[in-house]
Amino acid sequence: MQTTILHIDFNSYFASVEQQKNPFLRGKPVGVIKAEGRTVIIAASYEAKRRGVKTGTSVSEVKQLCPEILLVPADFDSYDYITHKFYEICNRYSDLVELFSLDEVFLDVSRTALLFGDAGKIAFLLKKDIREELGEWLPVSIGIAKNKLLAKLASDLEKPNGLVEITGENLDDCLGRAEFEQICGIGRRLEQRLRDMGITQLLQIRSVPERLLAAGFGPYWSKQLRNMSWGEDSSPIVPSYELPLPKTVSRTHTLFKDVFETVKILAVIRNLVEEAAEKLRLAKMSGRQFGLMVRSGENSEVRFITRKYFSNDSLNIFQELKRLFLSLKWRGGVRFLGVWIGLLAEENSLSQSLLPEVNRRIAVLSVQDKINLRFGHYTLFPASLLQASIIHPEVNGYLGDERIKQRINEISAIF
Amino acid sequence: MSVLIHEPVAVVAVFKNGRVKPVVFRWKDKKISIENISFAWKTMQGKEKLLHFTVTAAKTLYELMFDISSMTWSLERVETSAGVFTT
Ligand SMILES: [Mg+2]
Repeated sequence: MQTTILHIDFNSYFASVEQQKNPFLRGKPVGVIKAEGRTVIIAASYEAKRRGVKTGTSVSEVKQLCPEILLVPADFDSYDYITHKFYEICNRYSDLVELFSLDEVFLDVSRTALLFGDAGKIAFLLKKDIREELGEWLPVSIGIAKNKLLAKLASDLEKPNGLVEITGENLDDCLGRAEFEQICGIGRRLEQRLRDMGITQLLQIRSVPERLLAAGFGPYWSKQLRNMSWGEDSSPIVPSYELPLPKTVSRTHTLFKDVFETVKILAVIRNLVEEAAEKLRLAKMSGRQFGLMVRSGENSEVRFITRKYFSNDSLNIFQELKRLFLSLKWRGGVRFLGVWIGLLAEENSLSQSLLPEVNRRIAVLSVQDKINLRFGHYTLFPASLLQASIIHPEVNGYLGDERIKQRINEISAIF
Repeated sequence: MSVLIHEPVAVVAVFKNGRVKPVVFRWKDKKISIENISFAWKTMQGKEKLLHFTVTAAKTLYELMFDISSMTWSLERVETSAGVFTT
């Protein structure tokens, strides 16, 4: 059976959502920033992109490029809502749906295309559903091809609101037009190495002798690159229910300004641990490696400690990280903090503690989790955060998190 | 400029086919007729469902919120110009 893959990609996702929500922003250059006072654009509308504004452009630079830009704070709740609705819509047309990031999915319609007509009809229906159920200002580009590599390239060839099918006939033409950055899997470093060898275009790879390619890129990448140059890709669709559970959970936070007081720095660490550890408890997982990242303008440190015991108790993990932080003897301000819990295991594979004090903590935390599930995040929180302005959970594009959320939903559906 | 309001308001709404659509609301003793609903989305506060609507009336954007469990409407934000907030 011929495989048919669709890649569906929202164009300028966050900025389009803001334009959908606020019609006065439509047709105007819009930049989304994380929060008021933040200095980097995390998404730009097409009108802003045309003026040279990109993700990662600093606000001060934007003022030069496009002084009339309208900056809006990100509202991750609404983006998350659309992602879930979008995923729901895609599931109408196939059971093989891979959520590849917040704003893109792969859909294997090999078996279902006939039910709706053909793959083109499905693309048409998807666009219609999105327009009618989500909004008229949320353009998507859709690529149709025989594999993921080509489908993703196809959706990238025409933006916004494109529909491109790569077939046997236009394959070489499409590959010939592709920039390296449009090829999923070719990162910046690989691209640079290709350029160093004088390869500036994907099709050139076809004629590079095997020995040379292998010498330059090793056995794995030489084969991958060769396949890419012919538009071949055998990677399967991974429906989210088949995603492996992540091996770490992490939470990072960039502060608005440098923070100097140890008490305040520790409060942020506690806050981040609180979220990461809660996520683990709800997913019935536990870890035994506890890590900390600290950064300022000039300095950067990463420390972690690996224990024999597993934990998902935020207080306990915080104490580990507090020791790590104090051992840094950090001088000066802190601008960025990150925590992670690694070497994760599922709780039911671990033996239960016999220590009464550990079990008391488990009971307390389970009550805390129930209250926060019922009434919202941080309804109950550690007293050490009383003086702090609490950092709330936010949506990110990290799909390991999506898998954890899914597991939490599965578990809470049972209980 | 985007201004945070977060005040309870009286709303006339249509409930139909499992959906709710605000039509008119009263704020600062003024009756405001909604011309268009730009977007509607849902968030959760714990187990409580909150419905959000951005709506336009007389060249102004309003964000209304309906708390399903307490059956209360509130006006969350008003945007008087497209500027939202400036650099
Ligand atoms: Mg996109």
